[in-house]
Amino acid sequence: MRRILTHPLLWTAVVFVILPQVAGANPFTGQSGFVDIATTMLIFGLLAGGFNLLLGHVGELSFGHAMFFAIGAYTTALYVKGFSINVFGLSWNHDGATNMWIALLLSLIFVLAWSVLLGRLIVPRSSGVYYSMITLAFAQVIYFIAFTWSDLTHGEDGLQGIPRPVLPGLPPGYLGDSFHFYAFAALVVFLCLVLLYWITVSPFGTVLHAIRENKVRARFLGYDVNKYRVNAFVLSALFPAVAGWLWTYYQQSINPDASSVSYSGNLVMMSLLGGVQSFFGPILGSIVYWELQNNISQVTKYWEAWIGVVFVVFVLASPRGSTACAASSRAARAPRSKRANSCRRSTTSVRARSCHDLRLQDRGAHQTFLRLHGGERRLDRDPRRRRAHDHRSERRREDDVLQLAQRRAAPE
Amino acid sequence: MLSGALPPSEGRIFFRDRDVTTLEPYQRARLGIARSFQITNIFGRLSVAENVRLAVQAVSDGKANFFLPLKNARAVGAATDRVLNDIGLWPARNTRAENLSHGDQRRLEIGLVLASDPPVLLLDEPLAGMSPTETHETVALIQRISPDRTIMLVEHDIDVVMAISTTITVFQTGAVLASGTPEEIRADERVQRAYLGELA
Repeated sequence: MRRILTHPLLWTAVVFVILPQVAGANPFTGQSGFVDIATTMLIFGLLAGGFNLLLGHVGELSFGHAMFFAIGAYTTALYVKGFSINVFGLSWNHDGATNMWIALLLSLIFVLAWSVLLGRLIVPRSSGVYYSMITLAFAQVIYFIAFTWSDLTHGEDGLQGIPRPVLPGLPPGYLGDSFHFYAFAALVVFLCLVLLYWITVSPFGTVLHAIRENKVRARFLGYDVNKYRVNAFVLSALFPAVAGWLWTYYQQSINPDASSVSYSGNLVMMSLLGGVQSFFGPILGSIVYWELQNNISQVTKYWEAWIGVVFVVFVLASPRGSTACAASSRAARAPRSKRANSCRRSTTSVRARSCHDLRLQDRGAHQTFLRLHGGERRLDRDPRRRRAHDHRSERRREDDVLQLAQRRAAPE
Repeated sequence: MLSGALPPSEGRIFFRDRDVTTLEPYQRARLGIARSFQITNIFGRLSVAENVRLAVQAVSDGKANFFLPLKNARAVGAATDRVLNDIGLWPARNTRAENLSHGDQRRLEIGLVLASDPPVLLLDEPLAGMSPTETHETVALIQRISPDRTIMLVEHDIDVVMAISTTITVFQTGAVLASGTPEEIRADERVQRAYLGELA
């Protein structure tokens, strides 16, 4: 029972029900909430959730995840609106269509193809900062294609006038209503989040955690680490594709900004605001971000600067985001026996730091000891100690060699 | 080199008549060559049980599967429990690996190697940094698991090496100095000279 009550998916559902009542509301001005902003929160929550599969679970920062969002969105828009292009003498005409499910399928197929290609190309060859930079570079490629290929994408103006889809069995225009569309989006996003949750707790998800914790060990246990990294990359690209599909129908237009640096950056911000280690974190991050955006932008046009300030304060105060903050306060309130078992990094990092200090102090004491007792010579005279000492330095050398070799064998 | 961390500069490595010289570490691990590390190399922020389960899962079928059948999951769970009992960490299964004592971490390290039930174990100084009691327990563990498999052990504790080995190979500056049973090694003059100096 307790497990059901604390299940993150239950809480997600509860939040989705409450959200349209409260989103965008400002208790200080007495302004009431409105549904549109709640829909935005949901779609970006899904986007950040998919992105966080990489950041939180594999521990890799893709700085170009908005490109999958953009590809999904443009695919949908072009499928619905139709296009007529002429490339290298070949012309391609599409008149436009209305089936939303085919639009979704096409979005997924295009994003799948692109992410498999990109994943195979860049993931095994890069990690860390290079990984972030190269994903950013490809997102820029998508951005500039959308920006400059006017025949297809209408350039900076983007594609406009995309009608809301028609659900079978419901009158046309049903989804034109903000609240109805919110309900539809909430259902889609929730189903995607169930899938995402399933992935993170599956054996596959556990392997991703292992890779995050210790790539070398995972490899020597028998996991093809790069294969898992590519698969995670592709999976985390598919959720933004669905978000892009929803976004096109919701906005009824799309422009190149969808693949811009600021969109990708916002995803990082949302994930960090909410907490990358928790399932609900990115969704919460999206809610917090849009709430701030909505309220601050009514007061000042420099709202982005203020969101930046909030972000900085937040990261400094709680490096693991708001959900971790709540978790650690929960751990602090828990009885002692439970506290020992509660797996919170905040407590262990403090412990690690104190251990480190202790070691430093120990080394200091050791040196004092040496100084008092006539330097290293005394140490050398004791054969047992000497052997231990030699052994240690030898070990260190061996380890350096091994690490070097591993680095060479597996370019990361 | 045997586990695949270093590429050999020359020569070839065979495992059961199969040339494994160019295989990646993960491929060798799946063939049944498991290695432990001298520096404790575990998944610090995962629980002990998760650590072991990952190692079991690595060699079970359907490892990349999101839809792991329950039957298979039970087999993995049973194997995990067995390994946890073998290494004596069952009571600590829900502790985070990084919060274990050093000796327990070393045992978990061996447990990760054992989990895949490999025919060949490469143990790189499993006793490094252990207290006498922990050393004793670990030696008992190694002896308990050794009947069914080949264990290659790199170790500096000569007493332990003498006690548990069947064949000993002594290296000096990267070259084989001597190879034989513990008795032969004990009697070998070259080994005595290399390790104890000319005067001994």
